[in-house]
Amino acid sequence: MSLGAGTEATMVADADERAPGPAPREGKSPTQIALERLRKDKVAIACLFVIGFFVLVAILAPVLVSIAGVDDQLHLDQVNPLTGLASFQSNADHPFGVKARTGEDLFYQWAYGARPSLVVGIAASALTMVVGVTMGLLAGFLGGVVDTVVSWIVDFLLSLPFLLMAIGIVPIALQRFGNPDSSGFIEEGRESTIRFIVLICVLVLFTWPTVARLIRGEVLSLREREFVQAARSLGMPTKRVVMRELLPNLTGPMIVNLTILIPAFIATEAGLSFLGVGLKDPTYSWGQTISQGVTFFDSYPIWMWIPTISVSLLVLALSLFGDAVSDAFNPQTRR
Amino acid sequence: MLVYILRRVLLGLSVLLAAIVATFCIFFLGPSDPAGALCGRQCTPDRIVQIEKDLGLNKPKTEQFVTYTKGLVAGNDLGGKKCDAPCLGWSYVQNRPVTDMVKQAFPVTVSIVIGGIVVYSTLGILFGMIAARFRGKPLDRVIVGVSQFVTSIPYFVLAQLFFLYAMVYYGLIPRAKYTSILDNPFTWFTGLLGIWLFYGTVLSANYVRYVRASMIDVQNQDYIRTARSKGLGERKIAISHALRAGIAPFLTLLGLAVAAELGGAIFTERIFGLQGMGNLALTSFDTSDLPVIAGVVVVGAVIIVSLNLLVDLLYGLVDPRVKLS
Repeated sequence: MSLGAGTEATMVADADERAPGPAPREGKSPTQIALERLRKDKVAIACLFVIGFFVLVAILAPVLVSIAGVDDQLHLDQVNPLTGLASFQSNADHPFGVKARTGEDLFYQWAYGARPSLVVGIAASALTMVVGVTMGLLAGFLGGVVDTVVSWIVDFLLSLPFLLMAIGIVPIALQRFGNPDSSGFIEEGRESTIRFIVLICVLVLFTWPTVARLIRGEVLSLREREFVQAARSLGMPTKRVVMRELLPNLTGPMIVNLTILIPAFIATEAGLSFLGVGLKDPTYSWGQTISQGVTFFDSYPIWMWIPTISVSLLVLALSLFGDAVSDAFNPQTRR
Repeated sequence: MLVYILRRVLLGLSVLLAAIVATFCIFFLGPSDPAGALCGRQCTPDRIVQIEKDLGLNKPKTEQFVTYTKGLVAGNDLGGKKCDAPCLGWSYVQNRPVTDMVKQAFPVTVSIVIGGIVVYSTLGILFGMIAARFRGKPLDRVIVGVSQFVTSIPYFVLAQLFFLYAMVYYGLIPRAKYTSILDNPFTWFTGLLGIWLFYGTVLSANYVRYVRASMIDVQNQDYIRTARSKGLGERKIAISHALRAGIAPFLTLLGLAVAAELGGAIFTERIFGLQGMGNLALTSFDTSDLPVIAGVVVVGAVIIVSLNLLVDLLYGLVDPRVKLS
C-alpha cells in the first residue's frame, strides 16, 4: 500500500466508482488510476494500435518476408543496367520496390528494419532507467558525499556534446574491438554488431544523467514525507524503505520518463544511422535506407518514402502516447 | 552573490577539465594502436612512425596528457609542425592544424544557430503567450496540437523533406549558401534566411508548450493578482509582469539547447550542405580523421560549459523572484 502521491486523486476516483457497479474497492494506487484515465483516451488507444502494428512487423519479419516471397539476395536482373533503377516502383514480387544497381528487395529491408528501431528504443531506455533511477535514489536518499559525486558526474556528462561524442566513439570502438586488418577493413557482421552495442551504450551513457537528476529531485521531496519518516523511525532497514516506500511512489515519474525516452531513442537511432554513424549493413535500419534512397527521391520515391513514413509514424505514435501517459499521471497539467 | 558566482565558475572549470581528460582518454587511450587510429584510412608505415614521434606516443601517458593540455593552452610544436594555441591537434589526413579547420567551420555553425534562436525564441514565446492567453479555446488547442505534432516527428525527416521538396524539387526557397558576414552581410543574410526560418519554426514547437505552461503557472501568483486588482489590462499584465517570470525557465532550456546546437547543428548542416562544426565531424568520420573529431568535441564541451554558466548567472537577472545565494 502506498500513501504519498495521489491520495486526493484516490478519493475522487472512489467517488466515481461508488455508482452501481461492483462492490467498492478499498483504494487504488496512482498507477491504477492513471491506467484507467488512459483507457478512456481515444488518441492514446489509436497510438497503441500503430505501435502494435510496428511491433508485430518487427516480431513477424521472417513470416512477412516469406509471405511476400522476398529475400536479401541481389537481383541484378531487376534493374536497368543503364540507369541502375528498376523499371517499376512496386510490383507483386517486390511490393516496396528494389534498390538501385544491386536490386536488393526493399520490403525485406523494411520488415527487418523495424527490429533495430524497437530493440534499440526499448533496450536503451530500459537500461537508462535502471542506471538513472539507481543513481538518483543513491544521490537523493544517501545525500552527503554520494550526492555531491553523483551530481558532479551528472553535470559533467551533460556538458559533453552528445552527438559529437557518438561520432567520435564509433571509430575508436571499431579500432579497438573490430580487429581491423592492415588496410583498416573490418568484417561486415562484426562491424555491425559493434556499432549496435556502441549505439546503445552511447545513448544510455548520455541520457541516464537526466533521469538521475529527476529522480533525485523526487526522492529529496519524498524523503521528508511523514510515511518515510515513520518507516525509518520504526527502524525499517534502508533497503526496505527504498524498495517498499520510495520506489512505489516513483512509479509515476518513471513510467512517464520511459514513454518519453523510447520515441526519443528511436528517433536518435534513425538519425545517427541516417548520418552514417549509427547502424550499418547487414543490420538494416530505416535511417540508413532513407539516406540511401534520398539520391533517388525524384526518380524512385518509394525507396525513401516508405521508411520515412514508417519512422515518423512510429515516433509520432510513441510520443503522443507518451504525452497521454504523462497527462494521465499528472491530471492537473492537463489543458 | 560573489560566492555563488565563484562556486559556479569553479564547478564549471572542474567539469571542463574533466571533459578534456575524457576526450584525451577516449582518443589516446581508447584505440589499441593510437598512431594508426589518428593516421586515418590511407596510412603509410612512414607516417605512423612520424606520428609517434610528433605526439610522443611512446612516452608515458601522463606526459602525453601534459603535452596535450599544454598545447590547448599555450600551443605546441608537434615535431616541427607549428601548432598555435589553442592547439587542438594535427590532422594527418589533411596535413594541417585542426584549429584552422575548426576556425573555418565555427562561424558557419554560429550563424545558423544565432539566426535560428532569433526565430524560435520569437515564435516560441509569441505562440506560447497566445496559447496561454486563450487557454482552452480552439486557438490554444490548434497551437498546442500543431506543436505536439511537429515535435513528435524526427527533425532530420522534416529537414530532409523540406530540402528535397521545397528547395530542390519545387525551388520555392533558394538553396542555402554561406558567405562570411564580414565579406558581405547581405548575402550572408539572404543565403541563410531560408534555413533560419525552417529550423527556427520547427524548433519553436519545442518551446511553445513550455512557455504556455510557465505563463499559466505565473497567472496564479499573488503579484499578478495584485496587478489585476489595481485595474491593469490583460495585455499589460502579460507583457510587463508575467513575461519576465514566465520566460525564466525558457531561458534555461534555451541555454541548454543552444549549447547542444553550437556543438554542431549536425542534421541541419549535413542536409543543407553547410560546412559547420557538425559537418566537419562527419566528414572527418568518413575519412577516419580522428584528431579533427577530438578537436570538435573539446570545442563543443567548452561552449556547453560556458553557456551553462552564463545561463545560471543570467537566470537571476531575468526572474525577479530568484535571489542568487
